[in-house]
Amino acid sequence: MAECDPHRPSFASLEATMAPLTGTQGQTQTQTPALAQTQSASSAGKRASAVQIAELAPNSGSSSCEIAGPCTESSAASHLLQLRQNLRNKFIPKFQIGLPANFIRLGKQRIANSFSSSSPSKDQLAELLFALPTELHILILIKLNFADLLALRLASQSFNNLIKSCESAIVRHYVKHVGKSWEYELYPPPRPNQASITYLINLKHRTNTCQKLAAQLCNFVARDILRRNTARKRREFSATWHRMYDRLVPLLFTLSHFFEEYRRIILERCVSRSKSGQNFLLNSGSTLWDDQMQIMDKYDPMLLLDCYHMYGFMLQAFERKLRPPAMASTFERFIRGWTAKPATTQEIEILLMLGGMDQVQRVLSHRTYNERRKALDNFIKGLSPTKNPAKWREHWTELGVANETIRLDKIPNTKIAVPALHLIWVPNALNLLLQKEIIEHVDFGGDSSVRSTRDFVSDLVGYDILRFSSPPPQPLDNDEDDDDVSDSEEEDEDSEDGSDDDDLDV
Amino acid sequence: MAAPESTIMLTSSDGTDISVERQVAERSILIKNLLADLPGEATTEAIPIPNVNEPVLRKVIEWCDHHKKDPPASAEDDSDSRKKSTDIDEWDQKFMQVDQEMLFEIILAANYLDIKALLDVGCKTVANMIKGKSPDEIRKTFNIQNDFTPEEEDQIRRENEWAEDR
Repeated sequence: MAECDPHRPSFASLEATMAPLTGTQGQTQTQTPALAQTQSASSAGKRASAVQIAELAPNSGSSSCEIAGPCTESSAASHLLQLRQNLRNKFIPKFQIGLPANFIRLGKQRIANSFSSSSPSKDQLAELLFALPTELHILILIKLNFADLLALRLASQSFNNLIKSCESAIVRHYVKHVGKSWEYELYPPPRPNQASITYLINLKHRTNTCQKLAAQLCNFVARDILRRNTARKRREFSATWHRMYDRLVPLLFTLSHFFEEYRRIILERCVSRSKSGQNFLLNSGSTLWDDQMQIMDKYDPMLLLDCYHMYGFMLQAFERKLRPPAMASTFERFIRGWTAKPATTQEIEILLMLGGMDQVQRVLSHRTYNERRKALDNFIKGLSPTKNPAKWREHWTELGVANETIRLDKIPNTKIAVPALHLIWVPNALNLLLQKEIIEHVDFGGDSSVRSTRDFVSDLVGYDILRFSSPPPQPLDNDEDDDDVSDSEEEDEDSEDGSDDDDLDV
Repeated sequence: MAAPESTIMLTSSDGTDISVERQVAERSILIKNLLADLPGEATTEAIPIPNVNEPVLRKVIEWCDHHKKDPPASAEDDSDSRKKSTDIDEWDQKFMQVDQEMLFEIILAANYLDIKALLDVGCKTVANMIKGKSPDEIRKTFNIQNDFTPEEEDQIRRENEWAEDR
């Protein structure tokens, strides 16, 4: 492919070469007989107008009206604008290499939208692409990955508009061919005339969050419960890890849906009761049983049962990560810098209810206990308009809760009632499961929740974790994950306790 | 019905008659349906293809000729191939190494003539110009300017980050 002369001359030099243009008209036609057809359609007057535009090009501003003025005949103003663009961008270099005639020819061609195998150039590519009809734009766009679409919409206005003009079809394509059915069941796609790329962006965000959280929880099972704390052991565990991961993602996605919906209901209720003169307050409040029930009723009963266990397990993992190990002595806590107070139940409630899976994942993404603790603190402080007057709006916006009912300017006067952790999800889920006869009875005695979590994790990894797990480790080993020891150091430390792990891989 | 080896005549937009094997021409659903509707003797007349000029029509026929033995795409194949990545077989890749204007003419012609597989290859070729590139690389490829205001750009960037891994 022939490339255009890469260097860009100034507009002044263009003006100088403009003079011979009108004289080369006849020459143009003899040079390219194939074009005679399209050219003959346009009158001599039109040709003259093209030259007029050419003369305008050197000092062109940004508005199209200045060229629309002199030529009111056949071709539309948009064509002229396009032609002018051509002149500015592409054909200028050709003047310098002595091919002034080309510019009229190619300009005309574009107007007539005729076929030709004339010298291509980079600049044409965008024009050619944008000139395609929408159905072909759609065909091209749905061949791209989602990441490509995101990059494309950031490239320029015209590309952004291109995607916007096709977004309904893109959403339809994704719902039909890309992604998982459970994503679209919980978040049904908007009606075609309202479908926008924002829907896909939000969905992608939720899936990403759940995937990351699932990976964190799988690591928790692998390291903290099953003590797969060397690279070799983790490699061996990899198949189980992935099976676990694949099961966790949809469960977390469902939980995430629940918390998102429930949070919206709670906030709507609290904000509607906000009064001027009242101060922002996070306090514990009552549970909205009926609303919980309504959300949960949408879920498939078997999924609900899995999610019930998932919730218990996630809470245990989360609380465990936000409290220093019980076995650590005061001295050890001091040495390790675990001076931060353990998270209170109320703090965890607030994070879970207002931050949802998104914030759980973010807090867990920190490597050390102190960092996690700080992240939890920061989240809660960040919400308060009094404690964080500069950024609270930003934080609330990030939660994505703002709508017509939950107006952010009402937040400073709102008392937000956060329901108690043990009253969310669990009682209702059990109730529903009993109603639907998925479970027969509930054993509220003693360690039932602990046991059900153990069963759940055993089920995830495919064997009974208590029967096969290693004996209680020494307190110091217990919390590798909670200090700053890097992976490589860990591997050096404990490569010797592999004896009982062999049983685990049966 | 005419025998498979019979030839038909197509007239391009610029008035050139091109003789084509009927089987080859029938890769185009448009032509196939047209021939099916015509009585046997009428197929000796040239069929005008008013939207496609000679060089492009010849190129399209070249593709149809190479792919004349391909099984017709079923509806299922169609959804499958869309799901699949933008892999293009080697011959098609070479075939698509034409100048940009020709590439887009081929796409338009394939759309008009209703040749799904060729249209697919064409769109994949264009999609591959975008795939895997950063916004800046896309701008370079298409020689366009970043014409967003800083606020607009920031807004889109934030939305994108929301969807991407942070």
